[in-house]
Amino acid sequence: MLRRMSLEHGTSLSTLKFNAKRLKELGLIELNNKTACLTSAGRLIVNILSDDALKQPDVSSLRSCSVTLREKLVELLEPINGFHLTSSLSCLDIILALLEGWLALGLLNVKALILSKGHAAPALYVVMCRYGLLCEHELKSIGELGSKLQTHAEPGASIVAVPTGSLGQGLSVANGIAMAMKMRGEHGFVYVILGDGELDEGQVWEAASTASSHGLDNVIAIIDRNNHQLTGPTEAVKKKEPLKAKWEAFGWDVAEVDGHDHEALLRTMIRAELDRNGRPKLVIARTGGMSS
Amino acid sequence: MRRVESFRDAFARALVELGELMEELVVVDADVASSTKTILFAKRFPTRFVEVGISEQDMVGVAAGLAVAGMVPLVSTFSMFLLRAWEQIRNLVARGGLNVKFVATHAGLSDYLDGPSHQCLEDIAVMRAITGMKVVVPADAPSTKSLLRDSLSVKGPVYMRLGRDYAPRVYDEEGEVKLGKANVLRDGSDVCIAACGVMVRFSLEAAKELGKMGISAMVMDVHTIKPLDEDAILKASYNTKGLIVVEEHSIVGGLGGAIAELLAEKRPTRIVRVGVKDSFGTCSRDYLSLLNHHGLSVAGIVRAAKVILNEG
Repeated sequence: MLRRMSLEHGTSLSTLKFNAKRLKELGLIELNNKTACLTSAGRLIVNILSDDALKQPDVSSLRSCSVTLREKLVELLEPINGFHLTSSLSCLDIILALLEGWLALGLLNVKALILSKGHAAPALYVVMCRYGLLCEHELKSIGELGSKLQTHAEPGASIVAVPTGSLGQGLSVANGIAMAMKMRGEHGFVYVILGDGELDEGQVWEAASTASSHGLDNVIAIIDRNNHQLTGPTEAVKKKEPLKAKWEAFGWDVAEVDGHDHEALLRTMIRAELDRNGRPKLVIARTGGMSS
Repeated sequence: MRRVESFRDAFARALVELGELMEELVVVDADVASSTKTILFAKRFPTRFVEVGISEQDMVGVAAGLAVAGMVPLVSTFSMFLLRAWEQIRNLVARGGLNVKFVATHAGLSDYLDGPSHQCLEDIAVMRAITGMKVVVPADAPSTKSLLRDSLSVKGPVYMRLGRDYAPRVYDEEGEVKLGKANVLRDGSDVCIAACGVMVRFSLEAAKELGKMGISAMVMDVHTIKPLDEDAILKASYNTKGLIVVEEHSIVGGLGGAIAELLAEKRPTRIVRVGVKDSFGTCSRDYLSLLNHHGLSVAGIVRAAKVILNEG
């Protein structure tokens, strides 16, 4: 059965074997005469993750939505001197795919979201608006004195778990939430969106090591690899490459994906959730025009 | 002065007791558990002890995450090294209004042999500047246990500052102090000695010496520096000719600063600060000699009292 699941879902057999014990504990499989069978709950989950969802999540509508939200972002930030507009634009599709998979399609089990690149809060706000989590009137008040919408993300007004704005701190917080979930035996995942510029901060690498040392496979980090930071191209300011190899060396499973392809983004996130192998997951979302 | 239970032993033992009562209490360490003695908690509750390695900034972030998820994280390391995560404490914990407790050991000059890199004389100043942060400096072992319990029973961030070992007794038992309430240990009408930490015991000794000279000195343990017990300080300023503020901290921004800010606005009063005079520490083979080197001694406090009285 594990071999069949492996073929169906493209997950490695060794990973499935590793997870078999956990699946049994979760009541998703049962063992009869040394043969593993799906329970009714397990069958339900496999159906949800079957071809429709896993291989072809229907996110085609997001393409036109993304264009509309981009226009909205430009309009929204115009009165505040285009506040970090490019940083918001580059991660808009990441946030859109995440919230679609989480809130609209119910394919992702998101327990907490952290926007480590807190200055991209406007992108989060316009996407939240699409899902009815903010109204247009609130959206327009961003950065006004007395508005609950701060220019850098804060809990309460938005769906983030912790206030950010000072770079390099989000992954540590994600680790803390993930540890608490493990202590209490809770399921689900902590998502954290990082900028590529903030990888200059030493704390990110402290946290990268903490996540793998503690086996936090319930942490999914996504790097908005737009190749730019405040002063110029990332590789000119401070080298980030070889990015994939660095994170792998820190004990992470790393996937690379086109950061503007909603379907590929969502599929990568679903796969990251399925792969409970004791290793934290990183998605490098390429959003920059040219790779360095 | 007899040597009794150290600050860190008192803290660690009380922490284990609290761990039995609070299932959500989690201790976060940055590779100093054997020095802070939180190793006792780690042994008793291994699944509620988080080791992040030598990474203080990450440690504070992890604690913030634990608090977001409903646990009550207690972060413990040397006071000096917690300061490198000041910005994380300010931006994640305080700005997020998170229920994270910080217990900083080896504060002041108490890490005498390790020298100035380890001797922390600025922490009260920078922690008290953080919005919503409570700052607590216990005088001895029993009050450390009481104030730890109080700190865990209030919501929001608390910074507790402890010395390393030397903790001469001020209180006979736990429960004689209460978070937020300054403790008058001795009444007096000429001067008031307001102190925190290990300096409270020194102040009591100094008051005895002053008594022999016919000077009546009040002694107050101001263990909670933020929020400051304003009523108690104002009362002392009305009832005496001036205040001597004694702390094992820089004279810039600590308890002396807090009291000076209050009295300058509400009731200008003569104050003499007894503390480290805007300098770093230095190595010493024993603690008391180092304190004495910086004027933190019974004689130093007596001198300060005379300064106030001789001016009148």
